[in-house]
Amino acid sequence: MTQPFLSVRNLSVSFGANGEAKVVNGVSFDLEAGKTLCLVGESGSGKSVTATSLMGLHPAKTTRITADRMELDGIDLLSCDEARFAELRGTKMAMIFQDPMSSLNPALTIGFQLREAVFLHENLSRADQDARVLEVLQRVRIPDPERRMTSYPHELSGGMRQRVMIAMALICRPKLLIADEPTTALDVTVQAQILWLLGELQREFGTAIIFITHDLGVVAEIGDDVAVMYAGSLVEKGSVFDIFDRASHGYTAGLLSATAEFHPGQTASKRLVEIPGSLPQFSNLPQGCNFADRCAFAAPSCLDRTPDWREVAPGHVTSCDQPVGAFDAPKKETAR
Amino acid sequence: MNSFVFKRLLSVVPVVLVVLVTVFLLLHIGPGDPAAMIAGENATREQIEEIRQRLMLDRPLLEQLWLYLGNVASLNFGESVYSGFPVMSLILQRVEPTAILAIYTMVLSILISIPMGVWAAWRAGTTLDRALVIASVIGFSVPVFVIGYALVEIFALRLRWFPVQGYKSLADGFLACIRSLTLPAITLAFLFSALVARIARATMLEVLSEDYIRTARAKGARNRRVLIVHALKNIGVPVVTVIGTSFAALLGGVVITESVFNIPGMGRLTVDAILTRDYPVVQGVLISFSFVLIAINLLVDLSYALFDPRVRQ
Ligand SMILES: Nc1ncnc2c1ncn2[C@@H]1O[C@H](COP(=O)(O)OP(=O)(O)OP(=O)(O)O)[C@@H](O)[C@H]1O
Ligand SMILES: [Mg+2]
Repeated sequence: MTQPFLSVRNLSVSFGANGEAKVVNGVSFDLEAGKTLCLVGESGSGKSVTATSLMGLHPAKTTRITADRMELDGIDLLSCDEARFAELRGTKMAMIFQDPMSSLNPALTIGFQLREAVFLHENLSRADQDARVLEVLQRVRIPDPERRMTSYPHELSGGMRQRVMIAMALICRPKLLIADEPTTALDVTVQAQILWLLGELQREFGTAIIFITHDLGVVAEIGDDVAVMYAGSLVEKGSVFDIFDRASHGYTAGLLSATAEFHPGQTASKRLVEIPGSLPQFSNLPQGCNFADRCAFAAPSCLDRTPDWREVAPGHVTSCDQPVGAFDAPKKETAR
Repeated sequence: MNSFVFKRLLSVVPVVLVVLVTVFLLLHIGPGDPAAMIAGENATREQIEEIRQRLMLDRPLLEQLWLYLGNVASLNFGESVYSGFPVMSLILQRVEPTAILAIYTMVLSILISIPMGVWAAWRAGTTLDRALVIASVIGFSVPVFVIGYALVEIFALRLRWFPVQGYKSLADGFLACIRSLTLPAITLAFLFSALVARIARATMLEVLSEDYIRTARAKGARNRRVLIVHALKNIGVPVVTVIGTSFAALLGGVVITESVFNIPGMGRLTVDAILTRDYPVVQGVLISFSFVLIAINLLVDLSYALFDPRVRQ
């Protein structure tokens, strides 16, 4: 069997000088080139922390990252130091961050910030750099790109800034793109355009995408695989069909039924709150299944025993002791 | 951009007027007869009357103000009551050491404090950071004259690297001049750089936790580049602001330092003028200091546009 493009095994991340706050706990997943993995879960479940670990962007002093394996395209990320990570960032992997309003440097022009992404990695003349920047700005459909290059971030709308972030992430054609809720801050039409854009670029360059989102509607639209995260751990993993049609974990089922009931106009986070209860404290995780006390399907044994991973179908795994089709997850139209 | 500059320039006009009127009124709002105050305790009636005539203190207040503003506009601050010299030439004689000392202190402080503050922020939480924070508290709280005398004791009396006191003018050569002002400048730089370093560290810490710093690292920028290209420009506004606002404190410090090191500058002129109740000189000195501060504030305002593009509209 050949190695998958991205392979993560048993990734744990804790913060604090002594690793007091264990925020990500034993996360494993694989991703093939050209595919999209959606990472879903409610706010605070550790999605961004997981993704940021892949980029090596956590402060080294206060973060403890352990894993059995973390490999990208044959490169062992666990053994990379800051200098090696700096080489990989931008070229091998890039990230689009959650908040486009604050993610661009207010003191530097758009043109400079994009050009920098090029000249950090490639030895091009100034004219060639500019040509690359213009090309990528056109790609992400920024109107009047020549003029925009001399603009400062405050002169751009949120949607434009997010396009600039995407352009910056894609300008060196990374093999892996991590998009951390790239559309949450934007309105629905802009969101649709940006998703479409990501799909187009993925098809053209064969980029693997990790797409972090709250929004299961988006998952259905762009996901190949889905990993569901709860309280720092993965609880279910499978293809987008597995997850939408045959959800086997109580949390996934909860997410889906919460989504089914939402009304247009509600924000994504609001929808997820509809699962009663809240995330447990990381410092004080319950015994047994983390989700048991909120699970509509919990059996008494769920409170005592940590569930094992089970394969409910090929490639579809769940960490639940009562899986099978016990859940009558609402049928969701998957667009494929 | 131009309208920004123009607006700032325009905003200076009322400030200048308020300063001038206040300085003018100084002589008139106090209790007692201004002419008698200037003449001193042992003056005869005739002497007082003569001063009143000469300084036109017998005219109506508004007319005096008008005359005064006219004189100031033509850079005429009157004559010293004490020595009879024009105030303007007294100031010009004394301005060189003070100006050089202020600039020297400023340059020294900026060269010390900004790298120090930035470095401390970069190494936040380490022993080095803590040492720098403690050093800045000490620099800030020890009185200027204590630092001054300590420096004289070590570097002038024991090591003999610098003169104990006195001033060599630029006419005696640049190096001699700088050497004579080095201990005073270091003395003042303690206070000033402690202040600036503290602000630089605090704002740098804030900037380093910003999302756009993470973006820069995510692009593949190395640490030094992140610090210099992405962070430094964003601490410009607060740092320049504190440099500007603490310039007033620096001028205060200059007055004290000049007496510690026996430098014949504006500070000494001011103190002497106050002690001899030489009102025209006091007024002239006040106006000069105020104008310098107004100019510094204007420069600070204008420099915002350099650091923050959002200001330029
Ligand atoms: N640098 C850090 N130090 C300590 N705790 C942190 C740090 N970064 C994140 N956390 C904690 O880790 C948990 C998971 O955070 P994370 O940002 O990964 O959540 P998320 O799933 O991305 O949520 P959201 O959907 O709101 O973005 C949170 O409880 C957060 O407080
Ligand atoms: Mg997040």
